[in-house]
Amino acid sequence: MGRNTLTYRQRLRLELDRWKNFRKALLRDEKEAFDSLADQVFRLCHAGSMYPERDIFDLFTMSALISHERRLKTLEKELKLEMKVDERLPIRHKPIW
Amino acid sequence: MRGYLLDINPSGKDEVILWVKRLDGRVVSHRIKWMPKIYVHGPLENLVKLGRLISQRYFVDFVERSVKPGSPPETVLEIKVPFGGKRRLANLILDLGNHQLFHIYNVDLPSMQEFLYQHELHPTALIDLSDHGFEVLDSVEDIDYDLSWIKTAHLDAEVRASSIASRFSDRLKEIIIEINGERIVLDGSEDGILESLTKTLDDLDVDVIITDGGDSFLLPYLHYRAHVNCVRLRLGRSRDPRMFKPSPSTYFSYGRVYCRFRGFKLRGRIHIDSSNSMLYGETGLEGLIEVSRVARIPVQDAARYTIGSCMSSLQYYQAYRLGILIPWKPSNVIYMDCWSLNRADRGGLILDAKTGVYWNVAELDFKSLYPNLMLKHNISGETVNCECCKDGGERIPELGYHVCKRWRGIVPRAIELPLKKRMRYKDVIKQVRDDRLRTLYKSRSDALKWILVTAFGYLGYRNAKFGSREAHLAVCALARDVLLKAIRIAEESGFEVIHGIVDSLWVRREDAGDQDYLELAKKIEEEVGLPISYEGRYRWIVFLPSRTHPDRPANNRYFGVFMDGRLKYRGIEARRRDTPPIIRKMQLEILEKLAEARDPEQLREKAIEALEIYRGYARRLILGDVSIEDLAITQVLSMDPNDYVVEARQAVAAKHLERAGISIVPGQAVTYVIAGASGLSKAVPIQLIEEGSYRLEPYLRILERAAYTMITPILGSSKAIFSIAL
Repeated sequence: MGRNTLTYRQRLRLELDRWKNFRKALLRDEKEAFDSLADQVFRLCHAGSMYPERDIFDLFTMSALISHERRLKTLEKELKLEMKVDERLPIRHKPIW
Repeated sequence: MRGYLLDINPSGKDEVILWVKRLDGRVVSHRIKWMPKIYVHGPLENLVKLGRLISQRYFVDFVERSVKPGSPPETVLEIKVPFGGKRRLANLILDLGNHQLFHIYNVDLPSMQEFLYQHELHPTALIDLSDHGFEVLDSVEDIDYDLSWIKTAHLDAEVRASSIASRFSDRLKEIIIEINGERIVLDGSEDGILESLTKTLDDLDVDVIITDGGDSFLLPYLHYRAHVNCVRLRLGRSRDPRMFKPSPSTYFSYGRVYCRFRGFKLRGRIHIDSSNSMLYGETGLEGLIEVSRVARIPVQDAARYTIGSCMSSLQYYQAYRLGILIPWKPSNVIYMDCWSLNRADRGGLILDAKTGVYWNVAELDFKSLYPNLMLKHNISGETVNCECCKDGGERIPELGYHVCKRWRGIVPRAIELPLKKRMRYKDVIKQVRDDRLRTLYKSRSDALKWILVTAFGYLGYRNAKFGSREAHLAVCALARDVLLKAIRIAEESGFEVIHGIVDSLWVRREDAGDQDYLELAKKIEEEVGLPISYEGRYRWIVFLPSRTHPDRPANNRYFGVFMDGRLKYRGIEARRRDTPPIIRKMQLEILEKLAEARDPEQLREKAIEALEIYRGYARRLILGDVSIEDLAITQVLSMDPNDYVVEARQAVAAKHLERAGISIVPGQAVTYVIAGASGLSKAVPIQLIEEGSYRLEPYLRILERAAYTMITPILGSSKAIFSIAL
């Protein structure tokens, strides 16, 4: 049996296509950010494809958020910071000497 | 008298001939009176009237059979029909019932298969033949059955061709028969050759004739030449069928166009056309016979069937045995709203790889995942969303479907034998030391793999007799569930999951050794309850990016080297069938070079050395130091050459061939060399090209792209390093 519906990837591609006029108006570095966001969202296809009844833009937004959260976490790790859920940074005591 | 069942064929209207090779080596034919049957179901009083009407010409009987799997037997009309008369009678009965009253069954069940099912027989069976009938002495479940009694010969002919294409009007030059490494050449006058051919085949006592193009040219040609020369040619052990004209047909499957020729089947001897048999081409005679035994199909038919038809025969057999009738035109239509279709119609789960080089990665594959799921969860057309277990059946994740608990489906019953047998072959392969035996078991197990692969696809096929879309969707949902579980287990055990695709996982932990990975495989196997195989540990593996979006991965495009030195590559140019041999050679040479690396530092060094390999090949192309065969591109035609809107190279090549008198039908392949930029020189068939006349530029471009695929993931993507310094 062949497929009768579009795959999640195909739907995502169509959705990005619908944004093409929006993308056209972006400046160069904004455009780069847009494309990079699209690439990030494609990285979460495995999860997106498990929730097909959801609107595609919802899935797009959620995937982008997760991707951002993950990038943030990576940066925090790199900076050796651990931000709490309430956005506060742990108090760092200055060395006394 | 004991012997092996070589072949069966119908004879006249109501007789089947069994060709048996006795243990002393003599082949005898044995005739049995038998006729195929069809069944009619409908209101009883109408059946009685119908029975009375047609009993004047046919043998009829009232019998009890199930018209649906799992339903109780009902009274149906059984009609014995002479060979070849099923369809005509079935249509007549449908007309009589106004296409409303009657349903007809077993119409497209091939007669010889029905004969085998009824007598619990299988090709190459060891049987004990007596005046009262026969007894089968071996079983389809056996894994070491004897085939040493089969005498195989390769048959080929040389034609005095007047052009590059041989025609029926061309005279025969010689015939070459190869048997047991010996080569027998028959030459001389045409009628002499043809006369001695029959005698030679009989003297050598050949059982299986293998040809290249026997269905599409050779056998009809030989018969035509015999006719012209007034010679009685016989290639089988009894009179050959009359067929002077090869008849090709084109079909479409999984996005590709194929071409198949009507088979030239012999009587009492088996003819296999290696170019017209997918199974023979993939698995050889051993694999072909394994399939005909397991699926109970005469060898000559199995050679020409699609794998799907072979697999269906297993289901038909199960149905036949259980007294279930096989619907002629299955009407298992289900209706679904858009919403549920959108939710259910998805394939396997794919976890994208992050592109790049990875070290110390293990590959874990579920063994025959889909067939095992179908067997374990009893998935069949009639069991998914059955009427009887609405509240109590087993639930399918995500979709909320239920599976019958009372009836074991036809599909799981049918795949049990090939699935279990394949596992047994795989176990034996690991144990045997003898190389010859290992390849033998390997080809048999590969043949069974083909059957298992199609078992799933056929579930949702519109003409499948025992499938349904829901069953198809249920298997996909189960498979996704299994892979997700496996990923969770791997992560909980401290592994990083790099890539997952339908039934395979690539996992990594920096310090992990074979033992750790094996333990993980065992853990998944225990928790999920499905067999898993540990493919091995890659020293390094490269997951490649997509060409159009370099920041996104392309699934199923990777290459790597296992710890034991085995190479594995998928989706790269060397795997594609339309890649010229020279490109394939270069990529493999580069891969072998890269495989020497033991750590990331060495890999970079080897990649730089690999650049030299690429430059060497480029130099050879420029200097003309390549044979024309190395540049040949083989492509399959998907349409008639004249229907192409854009002048595709394969269409141009086909047009060349058409001018030379060779007609190419869609599904056939053409092999060509790029000789110019436009017009007819764009692609010249290999048969017509002169040595050295190729166009350099496109080949250099393909070469560079192939090298780029292999080297950039390691050295980074700078086009400059690909400059060719001569």
